[in-house]
Order: sequence, then structure tokens, then C-alpha cells
Amino acid sequence: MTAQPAVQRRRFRRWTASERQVIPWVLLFLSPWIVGLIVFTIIPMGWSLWLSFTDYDPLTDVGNFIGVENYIEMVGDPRVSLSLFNTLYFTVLYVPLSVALSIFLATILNGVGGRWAGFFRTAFYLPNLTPSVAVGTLFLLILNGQSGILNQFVSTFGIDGPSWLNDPAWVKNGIVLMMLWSIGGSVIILFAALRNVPTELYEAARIDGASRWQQFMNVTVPMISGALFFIIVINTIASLQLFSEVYTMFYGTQQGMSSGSERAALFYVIYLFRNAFEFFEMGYASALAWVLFVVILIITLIQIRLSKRFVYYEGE
Amino acid sequence: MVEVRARMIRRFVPVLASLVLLLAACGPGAEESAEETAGSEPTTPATDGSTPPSASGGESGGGLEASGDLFVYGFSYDSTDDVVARSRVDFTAEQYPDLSPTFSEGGFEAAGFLTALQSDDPPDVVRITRNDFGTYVASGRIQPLDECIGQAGVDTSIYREAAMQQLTSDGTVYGLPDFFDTAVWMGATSEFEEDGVDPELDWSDWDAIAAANEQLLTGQGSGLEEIGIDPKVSGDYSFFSLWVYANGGQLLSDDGLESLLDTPEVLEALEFTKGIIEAHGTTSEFLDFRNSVELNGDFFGAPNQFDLGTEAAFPMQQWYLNVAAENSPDTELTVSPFLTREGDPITFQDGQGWAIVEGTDNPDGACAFITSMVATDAWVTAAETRQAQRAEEELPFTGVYSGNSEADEIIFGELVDLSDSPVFDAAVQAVLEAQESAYAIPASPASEEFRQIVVDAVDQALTGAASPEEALQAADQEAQDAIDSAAP
Repeated sequence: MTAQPAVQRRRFRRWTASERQVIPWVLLFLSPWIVGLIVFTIIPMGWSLWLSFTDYDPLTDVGNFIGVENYIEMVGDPRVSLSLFNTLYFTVLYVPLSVALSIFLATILNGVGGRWAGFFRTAFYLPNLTPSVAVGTLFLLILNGQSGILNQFVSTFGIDGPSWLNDPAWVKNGIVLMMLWSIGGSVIILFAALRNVPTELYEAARIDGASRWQQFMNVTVPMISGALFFIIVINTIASLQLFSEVYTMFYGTQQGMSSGSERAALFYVIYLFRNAFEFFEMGYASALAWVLFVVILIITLIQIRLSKRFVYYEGE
Repeated sequence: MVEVRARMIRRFVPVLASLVLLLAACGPGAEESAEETAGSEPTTPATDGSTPPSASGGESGGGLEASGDLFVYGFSYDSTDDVVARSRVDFTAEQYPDLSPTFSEGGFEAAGFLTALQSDDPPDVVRITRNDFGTYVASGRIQPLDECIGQAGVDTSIYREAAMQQLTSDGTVYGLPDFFDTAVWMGATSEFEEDGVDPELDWSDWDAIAAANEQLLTGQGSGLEEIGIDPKVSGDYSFFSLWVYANGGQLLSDDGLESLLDTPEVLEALEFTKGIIEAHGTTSEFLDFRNSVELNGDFFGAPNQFDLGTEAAFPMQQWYLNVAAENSPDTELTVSPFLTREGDPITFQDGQGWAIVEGTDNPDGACAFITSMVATDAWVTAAETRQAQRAEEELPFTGVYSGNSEADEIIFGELVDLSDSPVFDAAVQAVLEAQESAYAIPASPASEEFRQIVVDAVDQALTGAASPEEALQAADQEAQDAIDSAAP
């Protein structure tokens, strides 16, 4: 009962004279970041919010205020629902798979010692350094239904692989596989978290008779839950914003080599981009962007809310 | 008092410094450096480093007085080894020595053009795909050429009619055509002969095409080994339009304001081409095979599908003859015009168009540049350069299809000599025959959106996501909404 007012007193304490004197200097040193934030984030966000209430056409440079008409139009636009479905389908499939695979690979990395440790860490991270356009092009070869190495591999087990690039039912699954190739960043973060789990906890668990699986579930997962939470949030946001690789694969193919599945690969940000820069409906594209922002915000808030029950931070 | 002032100075100096930083970040210098980083600044062409003759204008240029800087968007000079592009710029530099064009060094790209328009140095001239012209005309971003054509004394009747139709809106010309690509049937003669099919197939008889397809293809589904006939409709708006026009239909009304997707001619074309593809297996299996470099060769390289014997015939733009001549000079091709069901040649045509950007501060220079780039002499000079290059490489010269019929007459009448390559000679004759029957897809204010809607509908029908009828009905409604929304 007595601690609460003390906390409040600390929070609302007046600055001292010496603190007030340094405020301008603090602002000065922060100014490059503040300027960047204002010029490149806050002003464009505010501008796009305004545009979302207009029918602004960047070619004519004319836009009239139309209220919430863009938002109403989105409700009846079949391509919005299609692209949202495609994006959510991908996210629901990709995020759990990427987290599970990242934990698996990080655990393997954690067990590798000696001079091979550095090699494997580098090897796992290397795909992240590959430009996304190159990844898209590479997977056009890997995922070809007839001659791609993925289907050649599964055929050794007697499985007739699907058409990852041209069968609308399999296109999104193929994209999930492609994106799983670039989980090196998540692996490295989890690997660092695993390194910080105190070994005494495992020793204590072993003494208590815990199996390897019980150690993993009751020691490892709680201790790295902070990193796991971070990865889930980041991967969810990245999934909802998927663009470059898919655009390269399905919307940038050379003449005569086009895919038959552009609709199956119509992700939300691709549709947004096309509206803004190919159909020149910048007002509508801005509305699409703000809806995506709200969707991401809601999902992230739900995740943060849930994290209070499942995430353990050592310092707390 | 002095202490108070000192305190004020201590407080406000950092604030002022912050303000200065803010202003510096927002100032024109900052924008310039950002543009440089993004690579959007044009580069200056080194027109051979020589000073062109002092004459200004000249026969081809129309005698305009042109000088000053000119930013050309959607064209490359320094970064390309395309002699047809470079030699026409060199020709223009000779005509207008006081004109200093700079180039965006890349093809037209809508987002890049949009950014360039908003910059401190917007383009004066732009080269746009003709199919997209309608969008830019509707937006008012490109200016009518009536005055320019009058000043330069350009006779627009020398340009191919179908190309000019795409560059004209409400009787006003907005662009001059650059290239004239048309489609013809290309068949591997040996594949036809091996399978007992006459290479001179009657391409107007759709039953005969279907029967030939069955005879020419080898294998099926995941065991497909050779494509019989690829109608090229998956993901390709122009080729789908070709089948529709051959069937007596259209995708858009003549004024570009009404979608005609839900018409019997379009439906029949879609059902027929779907049948041709499905004779090979599912559309997915067909595309997997066709797009596999390992199985079907490198379409733009060697060995290609003709070398490997994995594809018998498909319609394709005439420029592919150059690709074939380079990569498969020994392949015997039978090239025939695409035919309507009544037996008349027909082809879509595409290419680019030169336009002057509205608000240019060098209208005379812009006019001089675009009229010179498509002048008869410029094309003939370019063709001569290409001919010399091909001779050096010991490859057949199959011509340059300029969109300027006067230039084409000289190029194909005097420069192209394929007496040593009868296969390519016959091919060129077929292309020239087809050129005379080219149609223009009407310019629509929602050109790119309309194209996407058509492509999606075709793909939905091909992949079985919807029946052809359902796909076209839904697309028709969506397309009409898009056109109505984009119409000025």
C-alpha cells in the first residue's frame, strides 16, 4: 500500500534545475533522429491518412475529399478480401512453422561446439543476406513442379510433388517454403537466447528426473520466451507485409514465361502497391495501408496482451 | 541581466541548432542527394564524344530550332548496347547539335515515372508502352502533339495506322510510334513433318488446330515430353486478345469505355484455348513443363525448345525471329500469319510511343527529339548499323520493324537480304504480310487494371477455379467498374 504513492511520486517528480539545463542539449543530440522521425515517418503517415479520405490521383495531382468512401469501397472489393485471405493464410502457416523450425535449428546450433560452430552460424544466416529478388528468382527454379529440385527430392520417396508455382491450391504453400529458407535471423536470436539459459537450471531439472523433452518445455521454453515472443511479433508483421519475393516470382516474370496463378499470389501489400503505382489510385492505396496498419496493431496488441501470461523476463 | 542573457543563449543555441538541422534536412540540397542515392538522376549520353555537324534540323528533323537540356524518361543510351537505340540518338545529336538529352537509363516504369514527375527536374520526353497510353492521356500528363507535328512538318500518314490509333484520343495525336511488334505463328518444321502434320497448317481452321495439337504433342500430364501448340494465353493479355479478334470479337469497345468480356466471341476463344492447353494435361502441368529451362530449354537462349524438340508451335512476336536466328540459326521454322476464322491475316501490334510531358520547359527541344527519333532517316541509319553488326557476327539480318512504313519500305526493300537464309526470308515475308492486318486494342483509361482483370479471368478459367463463363462474367463487371472509375 505504501509503495504505490512512492512510485507515483517518482514518476511525476519535477525536473531539477540542472536537469532542465541539459534538456536543450539532449534535444540537440537527439535531433537527427527526431528530424528523421518527423520527416520520414510522422509527416508521411499523416499525409497518407489524409490521402485515404481523398480520391487522389498522383498522375493528375488532383484529389478531392471523399470522406470514408475508400474504406466503404474496400468492403465490396473482391480483391481486398482475396488478398487478405491469401495474406492471413500465409501468416497462419508461416509464423508457427518458422518459429518451430528456428527453435529446432537454434537448438542444433547450440549443441555444435568447436571450430564448426562459427561455420554453421554463418551458414544458417547466409540466406538472409541474399537479396529478396534473387531469392524469388531462385525459387522459381527450385519450385518448378516438373523439374524443380524440391519435387525431384520428394519423388525419391515415391511422392508426386504438386505444382508449387502454377496450381492455385499450392502456390501459397510454395511461398511458405521459400520464406522458411530465410529464417536465419530468427535462428540467431533464439540461439543467443539459448546461450543465456543458466546451465544450473538443467542440472536441477535432471536431478529432479526431468526428461529431455520436459527440460525443453519447462526450462528452455520459459527461459527463451522473451526472444520467442519477439520473433513471433516480428515474423507476424513481416508476413502481413510480404511483398518483394512474391512480386518478383509472380508479377515480374519475363514474357512468355508467365505463371497462371497471379490471383493465388495476390498478397495484401502487392495489391496496395499496384493500386498506388500501377493503377494510380493513391487515395485507395492509402486507405488499404491504414487498414493494414490497424490490423497489424490489433494483432500485435493481442500478442502483447497474451505475452503477459506466457512470457518470462528475468529482470522482472 | 548578463547572467539571464547567458542562460538564454545556453538554452536556445541547441534549439536553434536543431532548427538548422531540420531545415538542412528538408532543403533542396537534401532532396538532391537523396535522388542521387536512389539513382533516379539521369545520366548524360556521350554521343560518341564528337561534335555533330552544325546544321540544325535537317530533312528528317523537320528544321526545328532546338537547344538546351532535355530529360528523356524510359530510354537507355549509356547503359545499352542496342545499336538501334544508340544510333538513333546519335543521328538526333547530329541533327540538333545544341540539344543535350539525358536519359533515365532504363525502360518505362510507372512508379519511377511518377517519382520523376514530382521531382525538381521532371522529364521533358517520355517513351511509354502504347498499350498504356490511354492512362497517361486521360491524366493530362502528356501533351497533344498537334503543334509539334505542324512545326516539324511531320507527315503522320507514314506511321502505321494501328499504332497511331493507340496514340490518338478524340482525334488528337499524343504520341509518335516507336517499333511495331506483331505476332505470327512459329512452328518447328521438323516436328510437324515427323508427326505427319503439314507445316503449312490452315491456321484459320480451329478444328484443324485442335487436331494438329493432338498429333504434335507427346506425353501427357506429369509425363509431358513435347508441347504441341501453345496458344500463349496464360498470363498474356495481348495473345488472348489475338484469339478473341481472330474469332471476330473484341475485349473493349472502340472508344475504350465499355468492357466486352462477357460476349460469345470472347467466351469461345477462352474455351478453345483452354481445350488446347488441357489436351496436354492440367494447366499447371502444362505451365510447369513450358517454364522449365531444364525440360523445355531456354526461351531466350540456347538450347531452346526448338533445339530440344520440346515445342512444336506457338504464336509469338516477330522479334523472336532475331532470337531464333542468333541461338538456333540452323532450326527450320515455318512462320505463318495468324489468321481469323475467315482466313484473313490478323495480329495485335505493340511497341512504344514517344510523348512530350505536359509542362516541359523545353517544348521545342522535346518536339525536335521525338520527331527525329522516329524519322525515316533515323530508322534507316539504325537499320544500316544493325545490318553491319549482324554481318560482322555472320548472322542473318531480319530487319527492324519501326512503325514507320516509309522506313520499313527502305529497310525491307533495300537492306534486308535473306537470299542465303530462305527460312528466315519466308518468315520475314510472313511478318510483313501480317503487319498490314494489325489491330489496335482501344486505349482505355484503366489500361493496366483492365489488363490485370483479363489476365486473372483467363487464369481462373484455365486453372479450373471458375468456369470460363463465370470467370468472364465476373471480370466483365469488375472491368466496367474500373473503367468507369478511371474515366475522366
